[in-house]
Amino acid sequence: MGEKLNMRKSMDQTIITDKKLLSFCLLTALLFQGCTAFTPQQPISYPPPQVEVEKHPTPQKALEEKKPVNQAPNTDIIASNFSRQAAEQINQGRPDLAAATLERGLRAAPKDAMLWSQLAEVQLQQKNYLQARSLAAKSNSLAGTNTAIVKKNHEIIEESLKRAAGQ
Amino acid sequence: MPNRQFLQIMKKLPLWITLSLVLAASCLLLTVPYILKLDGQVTKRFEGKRWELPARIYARPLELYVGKAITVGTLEKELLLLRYNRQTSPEKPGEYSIQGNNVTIYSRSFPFPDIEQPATLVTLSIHDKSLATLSDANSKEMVNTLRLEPVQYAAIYPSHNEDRLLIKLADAPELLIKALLLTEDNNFYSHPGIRPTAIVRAALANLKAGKTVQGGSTLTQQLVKNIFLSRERTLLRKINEAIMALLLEYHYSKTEILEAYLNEVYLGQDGKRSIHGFAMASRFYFDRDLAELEPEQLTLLVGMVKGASYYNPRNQPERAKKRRNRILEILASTETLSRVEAEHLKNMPLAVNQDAPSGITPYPAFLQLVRKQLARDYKDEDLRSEGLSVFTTLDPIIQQKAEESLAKELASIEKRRKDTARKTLQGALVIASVDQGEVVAVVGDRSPQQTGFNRALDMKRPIGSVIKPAVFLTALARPESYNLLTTLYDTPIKVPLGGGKDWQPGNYDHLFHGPQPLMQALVHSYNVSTVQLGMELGLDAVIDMLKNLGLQEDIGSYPSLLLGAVELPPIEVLQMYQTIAAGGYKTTLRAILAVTDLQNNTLQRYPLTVEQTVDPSAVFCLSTALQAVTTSGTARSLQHLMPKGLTVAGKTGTTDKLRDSWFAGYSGMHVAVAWVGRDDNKPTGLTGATGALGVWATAMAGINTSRLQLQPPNNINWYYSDTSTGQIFNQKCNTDQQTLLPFINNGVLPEVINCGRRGNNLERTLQKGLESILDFLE
Repeated sequence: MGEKLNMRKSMDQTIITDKKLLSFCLLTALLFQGCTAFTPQQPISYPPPQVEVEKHPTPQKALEEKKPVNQAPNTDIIASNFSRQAAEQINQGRPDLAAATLERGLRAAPKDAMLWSQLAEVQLQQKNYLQARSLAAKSNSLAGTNTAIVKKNHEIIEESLKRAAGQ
Repeated sequence: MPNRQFLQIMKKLPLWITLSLVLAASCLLLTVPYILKLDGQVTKRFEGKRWELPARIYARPLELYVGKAITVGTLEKELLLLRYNRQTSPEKPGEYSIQGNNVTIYSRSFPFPDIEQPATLVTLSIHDKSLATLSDANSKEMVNTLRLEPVQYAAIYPSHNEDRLLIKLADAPELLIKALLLTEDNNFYSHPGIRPTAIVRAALANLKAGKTVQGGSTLTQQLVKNIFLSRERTLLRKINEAIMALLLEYHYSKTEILEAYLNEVYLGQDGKRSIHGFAMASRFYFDRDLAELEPEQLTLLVGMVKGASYYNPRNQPERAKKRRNRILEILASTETLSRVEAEHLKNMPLAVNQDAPSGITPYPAFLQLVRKQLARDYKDEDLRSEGLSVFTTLDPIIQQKAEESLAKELASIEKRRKDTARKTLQGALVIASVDQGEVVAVVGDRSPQQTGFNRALDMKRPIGSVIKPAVFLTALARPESYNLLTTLYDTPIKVPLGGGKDWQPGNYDHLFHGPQPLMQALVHSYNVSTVQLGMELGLDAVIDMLKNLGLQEDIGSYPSLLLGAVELPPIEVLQMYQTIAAGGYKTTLRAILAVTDLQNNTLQRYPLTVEQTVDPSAVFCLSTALQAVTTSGTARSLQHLMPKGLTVAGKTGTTDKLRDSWFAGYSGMHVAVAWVGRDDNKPTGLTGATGALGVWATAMAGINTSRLQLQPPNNINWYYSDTSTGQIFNQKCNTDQQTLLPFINNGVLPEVINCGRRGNNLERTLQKGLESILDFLE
C-alpha cells in the first residue's frame, strides 16, 4: 500500500517536473534563447553565513559582537572553571556533585560542548547509558570544529552502547 | 513476715494518722495514672520532632563571575530581594555598598545542596553591563565565582501557620541568654521546674487584686504552657503546668529546655503566620541572622517575650523602646553591661525594618508550578512539617520583568484602543532556559498577586498558527521530499470531513497566494498551503511530531488541528518550542532542581536530561524559517521592538474571530510563550502580532538574554537562494536578492539557476499561466 502511494507520488512528481520542463522550454523559445545556454551547472555549497561585526554594537550585545560565535571569551573561562571542578569531583567518585557543578556551569555557558560532554561522562559512570548517549549527541551538536570533544563524545556513545548491550 | 510487721506498726499508730496515710495513699494511687498520662505527653513531644517546620522554597541563586552580563541596578535589585542593607562600608553578612561601578558585598552563609557556603566579603566592578573584576575584599585575591544565597520566595507552612528557624543553644548569642534569664527566670539553673515561693507570692498578689497581676512562671513553665496547654487560666491548667514542668525537668537537661524555649517563644504575627523563636524573629524584625544582632536589638527581642503584640516595635515603638530600656537597665544593674554602655544603648534607635518580610509569596503563579511538581514526589503533610528546602529554577529578576511586561502591554493596548471597559484583557507569559528547560518565570494573570486561575498552567485555549512549525517540521524531517524552498500550493482546497461535509480553510487575508516556497508559507503564515502540506504529510505524522516535540495531551486526528484547533495551556506550548529552540533535543521542563532535608541531606535531585526527539538538521532548517518570521514575516514588527542585534525566532498565532493572540519564540538563551485573550472568550480584536507579540518582546528585550546563533549540524549545505521564487543559484552572484539557506545533505534540492538568469516576474507569470493551462488540459 505504502509502496503504491510512493510510486504514485513519484509519478506525480515526474509529471510536475515534465510540466516545468515543458513550460520552461516554451518560455525560453518565447524569449528567443537557446535551451542549452540556459542549463545551470551544479550548485556550489557555501560556508555558513557569518554574522558580520557591527560597527556600532549596542552595549548590551557588545560582548558577543566581538566574537560572533557561540561562546564569548569570558564564558569560556567560567566554563573551564566549572569543568575543572567537576572533573575533580568525578575523580573523587562523587558523580552527583559533579553533575550539579556541571549544571551550574551550563547556566553560565549553556552552549559549552565540553560541559555537556562531561555531563554525558557522569551519566555513563552512573550507568544511565541512554542519557549518556543523548548528552554526548547534544555535546556534538554544539562542538562545531572541536574534534577533541567530538572524538570524546563518540567514545562515550560507543561505550554506552557496548555496556548497555552487555547488561 | 514483713506484712505482719507492717500491720503491727499500723496498729500502734494513732487512728487519725493511719486514716491520713490511707487517704494519701489512695490519692496517690488515683493521681499516678494521671501523672503518667502527662508524662507520656511530655516525652512523646520531646522525643520525636519537637516542631513542625515549613518547607522553604528558594529561587535560583545568582552566580557572580567575571564576564557575567549584569548591571549594577540588577545586582542591587537582587540584593534588595535578599534584604541586604546598604552601608558605606559592609561589616557584617547581609550588607553591601555601591560606589559608582564598584560594589562590595558581604554575602551570608548558606547551606547549598552541594556545599555549605561561608559568608564572604567580595568587591567587584561592573563595566559595559558586564562583571569586570571579582576579588576577595581582604586578600584582594581573584575569586572565580560567588554564589549569593538564593531568595526564599515562598514557604509551605504547617497547618497552624507557625514559622520558625531552629537554632542550637550554643549558637545563640551569650547576651541574649543572659538577658533572657535575668528578665524571665533568674534561678533557671537551680530550680526543679517550678518555684513554689514565687507561685505562692503570685497567688497572694492575684488574690489581693482580684485578677491576675503576677505570673511567677519559670521558663520551664512558660515552655510547657506554650507547647502543651491552652491559653485559658484555670486552676487545673496551673496544676498541670506545674506537674509537666517538673516532669520536663526530670527527663531533660537545662540545656535542652532552654534551647527549646529559644525556638518556641512567640515573638510576632504576620497575617496568619506566627513568628516563633529568636532566630526567626531576628530575620523578621532586623533582616539579620541572630548572631549578627547588636546588643540593643537582642534586648528588644528579650523585652518582647512579655507580650509580642503589646510591645510590637513596628506599631508601638515608644512602648517597645521603654521595655527594651528596662531590660538594658536590668543588665546594667547586674553589671552584665557597664553603666556607660547601657546608657549609650538606651539612646539607640529601634532600627527594625519597617516593611516586615512577608510570608505571602510574591510569585504565586510560579509557586503553583512548583507545588504541582512537588506533589508528584512529596506528601502534603511532609511539606508542611519536615523543614524541607526546595531549590527551584525561578529567576526573580526575569519573573518581575515578565510580570511588568504583561501588565504594561495590556494596559497600553487598552489605552491605545481607548477601551471604555478597562481591564477586560487577560494574559499569560512563561519563560524557560533553552538548553536546560529550566522554567524561570510564570505569569498567569495581569495582576500577578492574584492566586486564583493560573492562565499559564491551567487554561486551555486553541493555539492557532503557533502549531504550524510542527507541520513544517514534519515535512523538513523528510529531506528526500521537502526542503525550505519546496513549492506549496496556496490554492483552494476541500478537505472531506466525513458525513458528506467538507472543510474549506481560508487565509487570514481572504486571498489565495498560489504556488509558494515552503518557507514563505510559514513566514507569512498561510493557512491554505499549510493544510495542503499537512494533508499531504498525513495527520498522524503531524501528531507524531507534536508528541516528539513534547506534547503530553492526546490530540484528536482532525484536519483542523493543522491550523491549531488544539486547546493547550501556554506551558505545553513552551515545551514544544523548547525542543525546537534546543535544536531537536527535548528537555522536560523543570521548576525544581533539588530538595534537601533539615540536616541538608539531598533527598532528591532533579537532574538535567535530554532526549533527541527530532532530527537536528530538520530543526535547524525550521529555525532558519522561524527567524525569517521575525525579520520579514508576520512578526517583523519585532525588528523595531527588540534591541539591535538581538536575533530571535518565533511564530505568531491568532484564533477564530481574534479570540486568542499568541506568540511563541526564542533567543539564544530563552524560550518564551505569551498569550493574550479574554476570560469570557469574546473576540479581542487582536492578532498574534498586535497582542501577545508585544508582551513577548517587552519581556525578552528587558531581560539579560543572548542572540540566537544556531550551530549548523554537519550535514547542512548552504546555497545562495532566491526565497521569493524558490530557486537556488549555482554560485554567489552580484546581487542583494540572494539569501544563504540551509539544505540537508543528500536531500532533494530546488531548481538551480545561473546568475543573471533568475526567473524574472514576467517569466514566472507566464510559467504559472502555462501551468494552469496544463492543469486544465489534464
